Amino acid sequence: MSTFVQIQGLRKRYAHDAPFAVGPQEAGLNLNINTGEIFSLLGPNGAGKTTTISMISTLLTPTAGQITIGGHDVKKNPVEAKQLIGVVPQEIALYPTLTARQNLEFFGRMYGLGGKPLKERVTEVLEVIDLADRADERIENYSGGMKRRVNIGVGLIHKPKMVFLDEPTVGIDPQSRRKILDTVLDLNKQGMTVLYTTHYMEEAEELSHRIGIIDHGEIIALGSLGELTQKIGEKDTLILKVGGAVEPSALERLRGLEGVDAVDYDGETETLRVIAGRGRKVLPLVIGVTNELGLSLQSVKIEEPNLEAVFLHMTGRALRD
Amino acid sequence: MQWPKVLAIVQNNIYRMFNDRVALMFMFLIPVGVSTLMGLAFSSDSGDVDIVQSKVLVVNQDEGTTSADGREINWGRDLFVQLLVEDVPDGLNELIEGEISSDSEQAREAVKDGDARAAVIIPAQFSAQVGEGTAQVELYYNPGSEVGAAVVISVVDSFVASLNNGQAGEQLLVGMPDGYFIQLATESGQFDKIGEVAEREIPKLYTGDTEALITLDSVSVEGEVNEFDPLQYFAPSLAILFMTFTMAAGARGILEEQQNWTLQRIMTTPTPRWVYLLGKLFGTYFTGILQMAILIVVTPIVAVALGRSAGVWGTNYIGIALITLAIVAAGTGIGLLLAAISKTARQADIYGTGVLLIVGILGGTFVPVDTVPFLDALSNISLNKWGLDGYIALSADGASVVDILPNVGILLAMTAIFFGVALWRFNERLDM
Ligand SMILES: Nc1ncnc2c1ncn2[C@@H]1O[C@H](COP(=O)(O)OP(=O)(O)OP(=O)(O)O)[C@@H](O)[C@H]1O
Ligand SMILES: [Mg+2]
Repeated sequence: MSTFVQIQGLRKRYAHDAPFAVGPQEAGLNLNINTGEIFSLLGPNGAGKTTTISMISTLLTPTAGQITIGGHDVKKNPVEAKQLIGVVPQEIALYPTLTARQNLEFFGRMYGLGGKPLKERVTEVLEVIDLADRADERIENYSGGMKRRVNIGVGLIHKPKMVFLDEPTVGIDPQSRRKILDTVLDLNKQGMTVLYTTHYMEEAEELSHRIGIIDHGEIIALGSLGELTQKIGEKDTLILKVGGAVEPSALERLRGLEGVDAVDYDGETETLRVIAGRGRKVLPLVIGVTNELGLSLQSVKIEEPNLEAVFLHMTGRALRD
Repeated sequence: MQWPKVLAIVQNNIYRMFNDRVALMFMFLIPVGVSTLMGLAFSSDSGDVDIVQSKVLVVNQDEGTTSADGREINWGRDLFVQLLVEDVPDGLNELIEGEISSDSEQAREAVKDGDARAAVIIPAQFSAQVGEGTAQVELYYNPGSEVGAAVVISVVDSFVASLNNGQAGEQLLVGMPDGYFIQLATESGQFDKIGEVAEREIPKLYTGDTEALITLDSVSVEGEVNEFDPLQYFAPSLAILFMTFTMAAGARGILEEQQNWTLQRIMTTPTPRWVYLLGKLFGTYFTGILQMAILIVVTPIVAVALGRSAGVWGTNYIGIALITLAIVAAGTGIGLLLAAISKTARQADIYGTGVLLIVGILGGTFVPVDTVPFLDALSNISLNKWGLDGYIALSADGASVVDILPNVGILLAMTAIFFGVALWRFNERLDM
């Protein structure tokens, strides 16, 4: 398996007195992305996903570190490196008063395409993103999901070897999200390497060959879904919906229970998450404590090991939407 | 090859600009509308003679002579200077404002430039020649300024007539208080009829049949010089102002593109930064040229529709093109500078509009400032002033291409300064 992107000692801080947004440790961020894989960076808001992707795509100058894409150092040979990648920013980076076709044509010309080959390629891409029938409407009149799809389409216009997708499903309806995920899987089947960032663990779980969990600018866990969940052992997550607030002292009591590894409470959704080696065994104990504390339980669910649990295990916090 | 990319960015910008209804309104409808309104508001062709006070320059080169009985005589001083400048009779002083000028060439220039309606030039040997019957006065006038010139011609005509009539009785003229014919004219209350009055009255005073001693040599300014039309002022002044707004909007587009990430997206393609900047600047520049060109074509049509002269911009097309190329370049420069010193597009919009308005007002966009002592000097830093000055020189004063080259030069120098500062600032901030 060959390496397509190599990242060594990558660090970034936005100002001299600011903390490092990426690579807080001296060693920086180190990561290899293999040719042909879908690699996901999974992390909460502000974890450093966009900062990392921006440095790989040469938008941001790293404070330290080295990046090569397809063997090209992005600092020394930016043009060669850029030709290999298609970047889909987190923002809808399109001209709102132009149509989808005009946007695709314009960015195609920025890659040096032109004439008939460009026209044909635009038609192809419109098919891929399933917007051929509405290609001549202005972007500003599109729904959020359609805009997201055009945003992706522009990243594919020059048939890149690799595509970077930065949270491409934020704020859209489930149908559009499904379409986008299917498109990503399709592209990958045709041989495209994908770097995908998200804070939805389900997306990372479904798409990725490998996942890097990123938090505070550091990759805190790296591997396939199986490898990551194994890290926390065969552990279950108890998800308890409680009515009313849970005091910190109550969380301490739960953490003190035998067999409980970690506990997190989300006040917004009034949900308790308890990680335990054997969920079924600790459940009665947990329910006992909640009863004692006068919390009314509305539902209880036992989840098999997943990325959410990995994140909770590693950071003591939940990976919230 | 990067040039197709520059072209793509140029097209992208022009297309988006001309696709934006609000922008189009600002670019064309508002400047045409406002200049029409200003033109109408400042219109002076009401036909009322009283409100036009014509400036008449009197150049008295008369060296005088000595009369038979040994008196010093200077007809130039005693008649022309006295009655047109120093002691202008009531009534006449509402119509003409006499001023001494020492140099005949300067006086002719002033008439040509429209700074004065007419110049009366009295030659050195005038008084001496009166006695010999060969005296001649030159009246240099601007035929475009119909009303004023008519008054001046008839006034001067009657002076000459009175002198001619004095041929037989020198004493009559010398002793004539304040000029007999002026008095006549004052009584009749119609100065433009003064020549007529003089003609009717002269035979009564003068019995001889001798040839006229003095002939009036009326010389009109060569070529077609029109009465100053307010549209010749407001069409270019407002076109320039709104063009600078368009240029600022174009440059502000860089900040907008940074905010909506299309700039970053372009930077992820194999496109160098200079290609983007060049495309953006060319696109903005061409938009400005298009805007000026369309306004230059449309405002005369509006003028004609209003029953005005079509010569709003004049006919020196090469001169107009040169000023336009230069003023739009300076406009692009100031627009880029405003974008470069602003943090966000919104900030650039608010402060930029303010700055451009101030620079525009300084440059005389709404009212001329060349008579306001301090502003007059300060207005030199306004690109609007140099553009406006150039356009008016071409339309109203019949200036040649060479005449407006200094304006072009100053505008290009301003462009260079704006660009220098702006690019330096931009280079710093595009380094993300
Ligand atoms: N231009 C900037 N200037 C200063 N700080 C920045 C800038 N961009 C990002 N940061 C900071 O860097 C950190 C990482 O931000 P980044 O946008 O990379 O996170 P992210 O993982 O993409 O988050 P999200 O899921 O919200 O997109 C955050 O603390 C953020 O506030
Ligand atoms: Mg982000």
